Amino acid sequence: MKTIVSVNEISEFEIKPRRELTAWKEQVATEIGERWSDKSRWVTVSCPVCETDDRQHAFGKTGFSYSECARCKTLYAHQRPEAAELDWWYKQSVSVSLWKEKLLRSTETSRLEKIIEPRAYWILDGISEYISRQGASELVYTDVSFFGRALVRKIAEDSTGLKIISSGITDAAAYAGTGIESKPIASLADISLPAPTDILVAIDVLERVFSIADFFSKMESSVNPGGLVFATCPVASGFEIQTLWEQSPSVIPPDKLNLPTVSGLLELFAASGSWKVLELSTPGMFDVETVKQTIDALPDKAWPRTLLALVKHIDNQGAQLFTEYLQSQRLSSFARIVLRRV
Amino acid sequence: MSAKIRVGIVGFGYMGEIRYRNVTEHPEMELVGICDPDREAEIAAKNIAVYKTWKELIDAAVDAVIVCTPNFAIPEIAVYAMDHGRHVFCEKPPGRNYADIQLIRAAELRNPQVKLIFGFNHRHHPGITDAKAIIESGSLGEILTLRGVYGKGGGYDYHTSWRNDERISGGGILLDQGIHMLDLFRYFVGDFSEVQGMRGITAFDVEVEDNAIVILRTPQGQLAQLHSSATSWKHIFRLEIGCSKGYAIISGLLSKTGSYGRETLVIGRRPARNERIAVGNPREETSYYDHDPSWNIEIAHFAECIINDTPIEKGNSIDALKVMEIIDTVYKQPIVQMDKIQREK
Ligand SMILES: [Zn+2]
Repeated sequence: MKTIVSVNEISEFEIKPRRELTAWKEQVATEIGERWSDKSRWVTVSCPVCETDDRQHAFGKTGFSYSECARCKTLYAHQRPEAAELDWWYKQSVSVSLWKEKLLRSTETSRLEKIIEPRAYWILDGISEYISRQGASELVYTDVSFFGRALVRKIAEDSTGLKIISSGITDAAAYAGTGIESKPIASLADISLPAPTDILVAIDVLERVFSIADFFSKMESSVNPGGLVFATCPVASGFEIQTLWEQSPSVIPPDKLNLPTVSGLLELFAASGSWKVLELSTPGMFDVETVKQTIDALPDKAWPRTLLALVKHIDNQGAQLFTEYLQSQRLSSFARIVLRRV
Repeated sequence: MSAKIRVGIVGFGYMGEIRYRNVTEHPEMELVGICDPDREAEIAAKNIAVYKTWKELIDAAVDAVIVCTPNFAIPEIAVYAMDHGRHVFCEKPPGRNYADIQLIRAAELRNPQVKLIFGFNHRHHPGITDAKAIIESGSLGEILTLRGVYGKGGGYDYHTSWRNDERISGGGILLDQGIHMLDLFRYFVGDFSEVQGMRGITAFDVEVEDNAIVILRTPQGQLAQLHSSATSWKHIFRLEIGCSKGYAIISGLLSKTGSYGRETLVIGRRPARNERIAVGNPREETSYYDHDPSWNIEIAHFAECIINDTPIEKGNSIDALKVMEIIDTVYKQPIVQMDKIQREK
């Protein structure tokens, strides 16, 4: 298994401009309040990683209550709307259309350069590294990501020998004239692939499913032996979430319902016996910046002196070195995973 | 072949011990015995059959021999083994000089049924295999340049080591360590049409070079440069591969003691034409590795080629011959001793 450190001159606000982000967050809060004030039909879930019910209350956030798993320390909303409601949210809510039409569109160039392109390299380099292409038959590439159209298009542009199927729940529209097949998954209630695949890409999926354990056990029969999974996920074991906890601006329901820990994920894959972890790293770049900004925004809170020394009173170079340290120790709050189906 | 491959090991030094572990861990291999007159007690203590001479070991019913001796002994043992129908695994360097490798190669040609492999394990290090796969995918474009630094700090007893006794080793740091980097150069860009080198004695009271600089060019015009040094005072391994659309840098090397530092692969991309990234500071991604499978992969490759009767692909005699040809070219240059310095006695 390898660990990745990623150095990239980027600020979170290049891809999430402050004004639009604030407007979007307000819309999310309003819409949750309107749509889900009645929680009588909400479902209760076990820990999405280790499936135990032993948990402690962590904090409340925008109408959702987050708990910490007593066993694997996954942070998750143990009560949440049923699948049909979440499907509605991801496909039809005003919040999501604001996200897609305003935020994604206004930052398209930056995102392409700083997020989509590196991610495409990660996947294409990974395929080169981990799959022997001798014989050169076409590989089936299935993408189940949320809001994954830009990445799917980029992969289609930059690759050869892939049969690309776009199956993301949020990405039902066809891709005219690209050769990309569109076979969207209908509901969060049943994430199953249209056909067996050699490569599965699941960006921003694990934080939204009802059970991460169940997702991977389903994928065991959908990913061909020797095939690869590329996935990303926010992780609660990261510096930002651990430090800011209830103040963390990254814990936003219902987009982030599950925040596993690095060790919990490693245990899950080890226990299954069906997945070999080729990479589990936390190349998240925003931990230090986010903590610093949150401290600045809440000056009256009694922040620990060590934290102020480590984060607030350092210059840009120090922040970058700190970020590299967090990445090298898998202590950043955004993880990416490469698995091989054994 | 139905039964296990019966293996004998000649030499039980640093490499011999590694190979002993590799063989015992390999499901298709069986260790027959080890010959090392200087370490018989250690071998016996492991409940391994001790052979008094390497000929006795080869004459015993072995299928394959792993030669982990000092350089001077390699040709005789390898040739004898092949002429007796044994498959042979030779540690690098493949003998002391170009003549040695030619002898070994000739024995291989007259015994086409045997497999002959050389221990260029660096090709199997994870940083190298990942870099190779990424470059072969084309995502970094064409290789333009290679720059390698491979160095160590010779100890105060450096002049007493057999590695620096020309009669035994045939050469100095370039043959002992730099050879790996030259092999990696060939692994990435193939053969070189131009080779120039300089070697010097700078710090030690030895007859062989403690530093060498080699510059090379392929027929396509790709340039390469190696600095092989015994006076780095720090273990250092660094290979920079410059490509038309980016670069790969492998530095550090997983090893038993970790003295070369954590093995890393940096991949950087040349910014796109309109990209708003500070010039000269492109996006980089660093992979850290924590497991070195290279020794086991080499042995597995050897076993697989024996079992399936397929040609050796990595570390074959052509690879050995070509890399020795480069070193031979450098060794035709005079060795120059630095003046006016106090050498370690
Ligand atoms: Zn758990």
